[in-house]
Amino acid sequence: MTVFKAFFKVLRKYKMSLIMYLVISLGIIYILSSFNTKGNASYYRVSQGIAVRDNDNSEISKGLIEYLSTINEIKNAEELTDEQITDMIYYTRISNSLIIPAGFGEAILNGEDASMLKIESTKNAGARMGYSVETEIDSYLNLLSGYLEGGFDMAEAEKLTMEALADNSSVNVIAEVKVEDDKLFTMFQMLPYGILTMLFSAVLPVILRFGTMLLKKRSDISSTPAYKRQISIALAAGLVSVFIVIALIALASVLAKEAFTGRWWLVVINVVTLSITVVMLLVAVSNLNMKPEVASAFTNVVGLSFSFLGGIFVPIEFLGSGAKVIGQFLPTYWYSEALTRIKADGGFNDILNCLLIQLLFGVMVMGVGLVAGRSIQKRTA
Amino acid sequence: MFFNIFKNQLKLGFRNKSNVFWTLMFPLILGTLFKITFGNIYSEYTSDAIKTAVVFETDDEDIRNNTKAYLEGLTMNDHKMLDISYMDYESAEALLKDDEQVNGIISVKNDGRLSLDITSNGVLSTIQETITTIYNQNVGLIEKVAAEHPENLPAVLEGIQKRAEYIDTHNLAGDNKDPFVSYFYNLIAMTALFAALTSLRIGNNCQANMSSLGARTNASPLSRMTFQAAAFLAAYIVQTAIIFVGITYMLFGIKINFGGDIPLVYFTTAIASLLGTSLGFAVGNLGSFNLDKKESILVGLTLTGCALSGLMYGDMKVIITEKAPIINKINPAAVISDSYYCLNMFGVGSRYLMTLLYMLVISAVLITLGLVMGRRNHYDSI
Amino acid sequence: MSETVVEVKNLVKRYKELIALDNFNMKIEKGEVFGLLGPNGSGKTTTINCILSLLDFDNGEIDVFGEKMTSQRYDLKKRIGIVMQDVAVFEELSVEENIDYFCGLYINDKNKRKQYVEEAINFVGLEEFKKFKPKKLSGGLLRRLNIACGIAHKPELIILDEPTVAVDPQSRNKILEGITELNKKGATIIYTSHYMEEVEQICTHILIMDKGKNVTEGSAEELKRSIKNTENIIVYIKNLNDEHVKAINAINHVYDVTYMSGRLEIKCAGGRHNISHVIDYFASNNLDYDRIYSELPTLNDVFLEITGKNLRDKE
Repeated sequence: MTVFKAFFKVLRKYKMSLIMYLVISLGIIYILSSFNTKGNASYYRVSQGIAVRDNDNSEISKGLIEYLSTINEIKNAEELTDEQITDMIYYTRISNSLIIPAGFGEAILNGEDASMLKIESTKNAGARMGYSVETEIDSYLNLLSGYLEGGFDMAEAEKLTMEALADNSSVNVIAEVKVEDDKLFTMFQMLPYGILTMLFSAVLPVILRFGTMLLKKRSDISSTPAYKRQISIALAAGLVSVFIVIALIALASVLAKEAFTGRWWLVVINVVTLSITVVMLLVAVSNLNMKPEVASAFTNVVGLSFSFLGGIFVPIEFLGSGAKVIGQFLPTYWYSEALTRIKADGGFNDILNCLLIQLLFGVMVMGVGLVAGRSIQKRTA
Repeated sequence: MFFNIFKNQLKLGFRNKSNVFWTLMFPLILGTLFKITFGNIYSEYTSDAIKTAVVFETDDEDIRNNTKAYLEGLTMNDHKMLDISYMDYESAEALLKDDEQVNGIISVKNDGRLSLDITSNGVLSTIQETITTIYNQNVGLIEKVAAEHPENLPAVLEGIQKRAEYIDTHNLAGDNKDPFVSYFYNLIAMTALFAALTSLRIGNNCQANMSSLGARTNASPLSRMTFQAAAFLAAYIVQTAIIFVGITYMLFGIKINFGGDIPLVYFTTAIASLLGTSLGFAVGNLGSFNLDKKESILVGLTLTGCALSGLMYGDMKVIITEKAPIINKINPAAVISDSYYCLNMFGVGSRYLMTLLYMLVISAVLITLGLVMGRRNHYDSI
Repeated sequence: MSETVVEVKNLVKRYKELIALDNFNMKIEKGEVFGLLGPNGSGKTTTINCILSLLDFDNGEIDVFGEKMTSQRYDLKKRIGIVMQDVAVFEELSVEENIDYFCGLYINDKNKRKQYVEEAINFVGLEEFKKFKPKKLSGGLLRRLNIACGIAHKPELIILDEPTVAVDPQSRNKILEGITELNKKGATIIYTSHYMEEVEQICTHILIMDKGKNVTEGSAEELKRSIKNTENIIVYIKNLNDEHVKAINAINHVYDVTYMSGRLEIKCAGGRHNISHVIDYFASNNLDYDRIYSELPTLNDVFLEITGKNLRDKE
């Protein structure tokens, strides 16, 4: 009981870093959910932002902008500085910046050679998204001038063009991945960063403090047997972990405004599995005789690298091929994978594999940690 | 006296192995991980043709040849847009569903139209969708004109053949347009701020109520100013050396293109390091917390700053720019990464110079704060 | 004519409710080894910190070398050497580098400093450990390093604040010899401790303080002469009953008797030849004792008699 209580006394020393990681994790989650109306980040953004400056103001340019606005979010370039536009293109907030020159509509109506007057489009040559907007414009104008040339009047040509462009019956989506904003998944996608950093910063430095040689010698000669102390420490660490995980789940659920639904339970099972794995990782690491001062840097490196490679910050689809291979050895990768499957309406059986792999990672790491820890202890004894 | 303190503080900084080691871990370990994570995305994005399966559901030779010519003739940035394999639908479907061996199936129908099967709504699928839709739209145009104004059909066909280009494409200026490089900017910003663990100790080492070393220094005939100046300079050199190792590894070890002239990248880094040193100095002189608490404060400031400037989630900085631009102006991490970004995108111009000025101004403010907070010579208790 | 090195007048220092120094007065003459003796928490370190201008105080005056001491008086600080109670050295610097660092706070001339550092190392006997980091040193050696850091610049006034806490006897003797030697070379020493034997051994003038007040002062001899107690007789003897204790208490010159777990302590006044009376009493009452001896009074007896309590609870 003394050891058990002492754990919490030592823990108080680290409350600052706990709060800090809580604020950072929740802050990111909150900002994402409240500012990003487009659901899952820019990577999925099929419908793009475009900045348009219309110097023409003709029927044709207005029709074009109206058409583009059915697929893209239009921002008025006149309200933005050139540098802001550059920033937005660079950070893929918009794909293109368009300038429609004066007299453009007239040129098309007169059937003039289109090379005379062109729409100026600035885009990041590297991003395919910019390309597809240009294709949309070309399609619209080609089709429109086709119908005009075919003898239809302006209103009819525009109507036929819009109809033809709106018809996407030729596309069948097999096993569609839901793209629309789904708060539950946005909230839980980033949660592992919080779990990793908070569990690590709450438990690791405290355990290490207990393991500091001086303290260890002092308690080795105390009347409490070693195994009892370890059980007390494990119990206390477990209790703290359970509390943190429950708190995180609760906060994320409140933000997502969803709880106790079928898929919510699956997500929670996934979170709990990951948490158990992280605790096993903790057990392994705390055996390695690290200095307590190092714990915070270690927490940072592990938190960030697991999150990046596991598709927590950047969806797995967008990781490089090398990262995917490495990621598969990390539990966070399988956490993301399970989340993706739940999102695609998968049931418990669909995610069971992912859960087992997470646990397997934990068991293996813990085994290695215990063996390594024993040999380190022998060496330093 | 100044030189003696400086020399010894320099030794202290470099010999604090765990500090040096862990500060270096960020650019080395995380840099490598970022390289693995993001390194290929951009090139995969820009250079690879989209893997596409094409299935013919018609025996009409004309239709087959027309569609084949159309699909194979599509190009983007001087390379083929589609990487086409011809096969039957069953095998195509298997490839589509398993491991995304192909990104979509284009079926050529009896009426000459195309249909597309995809599994997700990604960017690649959008491009494939555009390709099939344009084709089908032209088929529709021809049918419509043939039915209602057959006399205009030759002119329309000619127009389709020519397919006018209405767009004059400009490329975004800038050296490295890969947005993922900003993760590395943020990583260096984080390293610069974490390196401040060295300058953090100055405060405690010269305040009598903070440590016995502080009391010892106070009892000596050394003026506070001399000590702080010497220790600050030493910490700056230690921290800059650490970050230079980090950035050298990124530039030459894992070959990250930061954009901009390499000497200027180093110059920017040296200024960033000054900002980091100043932050540590300010926090180190903050009230009478012990070193542990101050370290937590520094780590908290650094991580929060980096989170807001996009270390964890890349778009964060743009969101902040739109919603609360002031944060980007005072967040040291954002100011540092913005400086690299401006150097990359706009070169040595007013905007880049402004970011340098910002860093210097913030440093000056932090140093002043540190000096004011650390000014006192009188202690109520020790 | 003697010259006053440190003069403390009516010093008052409060920590919120607690009064740490209560109109404390102290005067230290040049060439003295001045012992500041008192139990833990009596205000010794607070006094030192005030003299060094590290602490603000609420009232009083402090003069060092005849001039008013403030935190800005770098010229005065230059003439003082301080060995703090807590070891204040850099973990990352070696023994030699640490001494050089602290000496460098006072001495600018590189060659002179080199010589001084060398001398300081020899003085505390750390020649073999020059290149060692503090972490590798034992508690006693670490204390010696701490001292070397404080005295390397050859100050006129050396303040040692409990330099022997938690030090093995061998190192302790070495330290005490060193202090005497420094004094012989002309340095004035302020030495605080709660070990009365040490203070008695090396100090030429002793000030006993308690609860922030000056209890008494003088040389060890003077202090002991000032009290009633002149001899303590200790007897190890079993089976003594209350009757006997009363009877012993009635012997001439005996004024206090305590008997606890076989140890009889008899305090006597009026000279140092009372042991024969005690032995006579045992002989006439046919009592066997294991051991009997006579002790001269210690500084603890001085403290005990004035304050009614021991300097230290145990030891």
